[in-house]
Amino acid sequence: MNNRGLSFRAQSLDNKTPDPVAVQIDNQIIPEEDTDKRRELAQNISEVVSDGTQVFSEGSHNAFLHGDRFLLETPPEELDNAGRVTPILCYGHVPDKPPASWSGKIVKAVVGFAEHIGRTISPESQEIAGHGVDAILEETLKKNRMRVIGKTLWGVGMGVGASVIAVLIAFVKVSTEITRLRKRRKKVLWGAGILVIVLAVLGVIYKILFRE
Amino acid sequence: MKNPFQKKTDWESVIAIALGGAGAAIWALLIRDTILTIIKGKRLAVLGERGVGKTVLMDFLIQGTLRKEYVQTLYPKKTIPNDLKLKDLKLRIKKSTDVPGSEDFHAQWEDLTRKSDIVLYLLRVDMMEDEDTQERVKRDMGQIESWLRESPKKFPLFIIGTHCDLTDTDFTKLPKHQKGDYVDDLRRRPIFRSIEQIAGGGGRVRFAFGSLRSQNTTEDLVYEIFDQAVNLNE
Repeated sequence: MNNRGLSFRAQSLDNKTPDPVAVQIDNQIIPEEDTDKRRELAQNISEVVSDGTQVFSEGSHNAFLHGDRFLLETPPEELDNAGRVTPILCYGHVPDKPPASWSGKIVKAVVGFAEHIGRTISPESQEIAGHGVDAILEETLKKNRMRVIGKTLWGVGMGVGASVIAVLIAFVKVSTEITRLRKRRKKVLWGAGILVIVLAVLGVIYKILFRE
Repeated sequence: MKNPFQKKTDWESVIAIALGGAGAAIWALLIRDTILTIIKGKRLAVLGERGVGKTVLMDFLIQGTLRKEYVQTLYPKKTIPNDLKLKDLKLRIKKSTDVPGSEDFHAQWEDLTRKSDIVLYLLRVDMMEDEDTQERVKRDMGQIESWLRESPKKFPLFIIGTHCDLTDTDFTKLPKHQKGDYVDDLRRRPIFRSIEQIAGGGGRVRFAFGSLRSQNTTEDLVYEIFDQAVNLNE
């Protein structure tokens, strides 16, 4: 189940014999004894539903998305021995760059598994399942777009932040320099003032002394 | 001739009746309060093999009615909380999860059991003669018992026998006084004794039998379960 292929799960129609569970490679049913594989898939399915988002719902058709993992629920025509709808689950990963044919491929794979276990997905149901896959794709693209916007905003934010910090540092440095120069100018003025006063005092003393 | 004590005796009766009535009223109020307190805010774990009626029971507990169409539960589905009034019981059901019956989902069963206050394990009474079904129920009982043993909380475990309308005798059509015999007969069967032992014995295990076929039979079964739950807490 660690590969990036599709996995399928359904419940038996008699609610007694083992549930059909398979991976897409050859649609071979995972035997009942292989509890690890079966439970791993059960765990993955549970996580996508509980931690993910429901992106599509129409009748018994449902689709969930959690990160790049998706779950598609499609009802076949057959009912179980209690007269209940017997959905087929398809679990997998959305590829990084899904081709245009991806939606059709998923629905085809679900139909293939259904036929393998003796169930029928009507053309109408296939169409709705296709809408479910489209919803998964749309949500993935939306999330990817948001991620790109987020990354861009982060980059711009970092750039602006760095610029602001650089300007602030420069401003502080220039201010310090100006303050230092101002202090020096003050000292010169003070010196000049004191010199003028001393000269004035000396001039006054000279005048008083020489007048007499 | 008129009895001179007649009037006095009447007053005593009136006072005695009045006191008795007041006592009964206070007792009834106390019991009612106790019931409301005990049933308040229970988180339920509804477990059992595929197709035994877990979703039907869960649906009834959160909506008070049965649906027309059901879908096999293939993944855990969160359920909403609800206050359900049933005869003299008011049940406050906390949010929970409706889990699939396959053994592949035992990890989800364990998680749900550990978060719950009451565990309800459903089994089909009409299938209990089948060896595979018996083995499956025994395996489940062993698992649930180990989870309950490890839990610091003291869990009651209810074993709910459903589909009793499909047994040789239709339980739902029996008059009230014969229902007890039907249940006693089931409880005496080796498989039910064995299940009780595996699940932790009479100290922990309670049984309830009935059917989820219609609104009325479901109401009766749910009342039977929670009436016992009240008595258990008392």
